[in-house]
Amino acid sequence: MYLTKQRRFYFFLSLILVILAVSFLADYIMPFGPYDQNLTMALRPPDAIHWLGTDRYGRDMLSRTLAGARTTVCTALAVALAASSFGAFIGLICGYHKGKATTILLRLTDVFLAFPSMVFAIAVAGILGGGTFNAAAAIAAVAWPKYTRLVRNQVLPLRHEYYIEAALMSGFSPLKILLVQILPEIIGPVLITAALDIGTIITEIAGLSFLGLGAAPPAAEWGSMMSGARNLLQTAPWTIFVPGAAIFITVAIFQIFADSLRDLADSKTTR
Amino acid sequence: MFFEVQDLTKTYTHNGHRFAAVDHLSFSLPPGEILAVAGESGSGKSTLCRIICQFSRADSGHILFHDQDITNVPEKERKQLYRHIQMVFQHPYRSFHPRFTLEKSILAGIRNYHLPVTPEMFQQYMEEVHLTRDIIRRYPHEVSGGECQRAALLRSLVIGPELLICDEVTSALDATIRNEIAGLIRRICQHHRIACLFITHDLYLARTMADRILIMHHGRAVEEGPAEQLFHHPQQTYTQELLSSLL
Repeated sequence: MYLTKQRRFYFFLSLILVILAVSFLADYIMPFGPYDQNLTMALRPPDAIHWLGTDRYGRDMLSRTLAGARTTVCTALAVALAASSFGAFIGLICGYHKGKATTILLRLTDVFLAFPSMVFAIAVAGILGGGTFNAAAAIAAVAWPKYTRLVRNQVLPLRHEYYIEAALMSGFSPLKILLVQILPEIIGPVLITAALDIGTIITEIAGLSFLGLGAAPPAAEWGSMMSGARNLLQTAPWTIFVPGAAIFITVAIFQIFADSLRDLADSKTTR
Repeated sequence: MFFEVQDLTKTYTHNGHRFAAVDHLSFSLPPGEILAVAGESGSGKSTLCRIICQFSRADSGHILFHDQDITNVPEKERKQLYRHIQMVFQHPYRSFHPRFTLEKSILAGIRNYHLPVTPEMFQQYMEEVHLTRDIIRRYPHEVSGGECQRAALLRSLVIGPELLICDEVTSALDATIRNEIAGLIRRICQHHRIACLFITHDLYLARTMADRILIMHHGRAVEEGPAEQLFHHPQQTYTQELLSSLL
């Protein structure tokens, strides 16, 4: 059973590595430039030259999808890293220290958690303005509180463990205790949550771009590509299905990977 | 005065009722002496330990160490206090980080306090607690309870404390190991002239271990005196009942 879970984990890990490799090496493997227009080839269905067809400006859909992978996946990874690091840091402090500052931070976390995340992200992106960076910032602004809650709940029982008190008596500073003694104990659930979050973040980035609050045309970004092609659904469906399928497949791979990571961690602790 | 507890009180609220875990407790401890604090469960022994080690705050009263008030030491100044006061915990396995070897946890104290402990001195400390390099290079779950508690004792010993607090250090161990660890603590404290506050509910162990015994009941000091005198001529009714329950 454990080996099966391990195989599943490595299989999806290798798929993620492929996605990351494609994202970072997109410039070298794209058959055409993602912004190269050729109006004589506009709205061509998939064929031997343009494997995934072309859009209304004759741009190669495969090249734009590969370039979009870099924008979407890299942004999602950056957002997940930023939100989990910041949220975990606040959670570590709130879990370890008691005081007014901690109470204020926790109430602030509750306020952020009380908003529906996508609505809040739309509001933040609306205030900050369009662009990939602002969309990423808007999503990170609503993604961090759950890490704070998660980490705080993990730290609270550990704080009174004898080995933490023994470490204090061995001259460890509270910061060193947090980083050296507590962080290794709680990093697993944080990583699993972050892995689960990446799929959600990809859909949110695409969602904001689709609404015109993320990457703006002519940027090769999956949500923006779908938004630009939404009136072509009946005449040139590949222009909307290709970025849609890219989002679906990528999100599915990240979600199943996160599940397999959790299963593997669970079986390691219960074996 | 080397170490003195004056009128110490700590109360808790449980289901709306306030009760005193430590109730106006006073005693003193000269340098190098072993004082056993004995009493039944819930008598406030462990709370006393936790207050002295700053893991819990006292409601009132004072703890003096070298005539300095250490009742509620600010967090930033605690490291300096722990350089002189060390504690060995009840559960040996839970007092070591499960992901680190015993050696790493023990050496951390030497590193954090910048102590001039040479490899030869460390070897000598290890021999004193009957441990070998091979044992301390293992993880906590790879050693026996007795070995783990000896490693905990070594961790405190290398820091060179003046006061060692042992909170029920033998209660989680087998009967055979129990006396061995208690004997070891007594020898080490006598050899290094370390004062020891030995918390136990085992009166026999308290008698063999300590120079003096303090009996606690409901957070109060019921009786205090030299170990043999207290055993043979108990003055208080509670002490007499406690001793008669052993027979």
